[in-house]
Amino acid sequence: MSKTGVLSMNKRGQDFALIFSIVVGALIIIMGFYTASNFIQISNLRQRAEIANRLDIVLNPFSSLGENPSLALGKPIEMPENIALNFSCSGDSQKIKVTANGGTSSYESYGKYIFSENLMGKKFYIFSKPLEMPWKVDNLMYLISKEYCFINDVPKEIEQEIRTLKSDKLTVSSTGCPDSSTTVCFGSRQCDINVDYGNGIVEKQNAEIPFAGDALMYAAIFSSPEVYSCNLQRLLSRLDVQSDIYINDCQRLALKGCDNSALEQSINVLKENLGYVLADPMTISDLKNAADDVQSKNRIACPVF
Amino acid sequence: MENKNSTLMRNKWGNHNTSKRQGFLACQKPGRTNLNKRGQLKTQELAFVVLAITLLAVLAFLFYLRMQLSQLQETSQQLNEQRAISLRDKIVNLPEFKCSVTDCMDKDKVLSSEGKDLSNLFHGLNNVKIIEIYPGDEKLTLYDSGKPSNASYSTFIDSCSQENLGDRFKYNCSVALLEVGI
Repeated sequence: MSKTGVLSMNKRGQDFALIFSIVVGALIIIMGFYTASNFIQISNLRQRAEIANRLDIVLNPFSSLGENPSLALGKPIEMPENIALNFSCSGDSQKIKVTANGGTSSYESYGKYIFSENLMGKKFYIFSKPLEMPWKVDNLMYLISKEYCFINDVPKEIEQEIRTLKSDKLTVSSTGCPDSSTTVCFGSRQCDINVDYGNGIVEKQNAEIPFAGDALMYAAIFSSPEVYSCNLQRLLSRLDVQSDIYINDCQRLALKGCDNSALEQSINVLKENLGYVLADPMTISDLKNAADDVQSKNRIACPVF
Repeated sequence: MENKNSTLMRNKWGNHNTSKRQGFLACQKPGRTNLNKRGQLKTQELAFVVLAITLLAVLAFLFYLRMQLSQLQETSQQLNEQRAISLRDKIVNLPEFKCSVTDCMDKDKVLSSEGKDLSNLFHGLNNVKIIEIYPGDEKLTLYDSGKPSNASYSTFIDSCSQENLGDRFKYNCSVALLEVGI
């Protein structure tokens, strides 16, 4: 073989090696990029899932404590980065959607009633208040990130409660509110949110939201109408189960010599009203009346609740 | 002429003799095979190196994956523990089982809740039990998902029921353990 032949074979071999190494190198680089991007995606997914889980755990004490009229977390819940929280709810759970790093993770929360609008930011403020119908059904949790300013004929007990909360995001003013805040009016209909305290109606986002009691009023103020309506249904279902347990308890106590037949009858009326409210939420004031009746029948000698 | 002939006689390697040329080609054939073999060997060598590097990368990736998985499992376990503990504390205060006047769990309410679907309240837990220690020795099951629990967390509670003392009713209590299994 001539020198040129050997050289051309060598050259061909070198060419092959070069093409081979370019192809393999490119494949390795593509695989590297693919793996790295997948890792980033997985770690972001993991971070968001962790945030949602931890948020759920942080909220647990708020649903069990709160024998006091209301409870606030002195410090805000601070997230590691800016996140968006989206709340929705289904029959028996509430879905928390966490959006961060351009992706979304969701988590189902059971046995909690979180009233909130869709939030965005790094700091979130929480406070809770028990819903009593007439016994404590559960604590309602309110999660906010923006400032709310209560103005115009705020009822004394509401004003006092808000001042007791000492939250940076909740203020009561008689003169004026900061421009950035969401205004809540009690005496007029000129604010972002208008409350008809006497008739139990909160007007916001062109919707009329009925409420009974202060706990549900705050719920209507701080949450979106959809979340409010869904959580109200969940609460009423819970109250239905509790009513059954309390009726059974009345019967057990009757066996021990405590006559609770009047109370049992009142709880049955309450149960009946629950059905009406589920069909038409505007009748919630009737439920409150039935609850007040149940409260009056609870015997001090052998109380059921 | 002679020069021309001699030029014609010469082959491209400059050999005058044809038999010499044939002899050269004959001796060169195994050389070409050698070159081919050397080329193949080089290619094989390269393929093996690439294979080794790929294997090493796969091994490193598997190792990393294993580390990540164990970290993930640890986080998951930590979160489960935290959830179980926070739920345990929440269960004590659930209105479904809470005593009316004192801070305790009402045995009558627990028994009254039998047959009710309370799985939403115990989501994430496999079972919830009240084990009376003293003076009572009853064992009440608040919830049982049917799954065996890997770990359980307990706290001391008062398990009470209203008793008729003739002229009045009074809560009669036992020290008990509230045990939640995950």
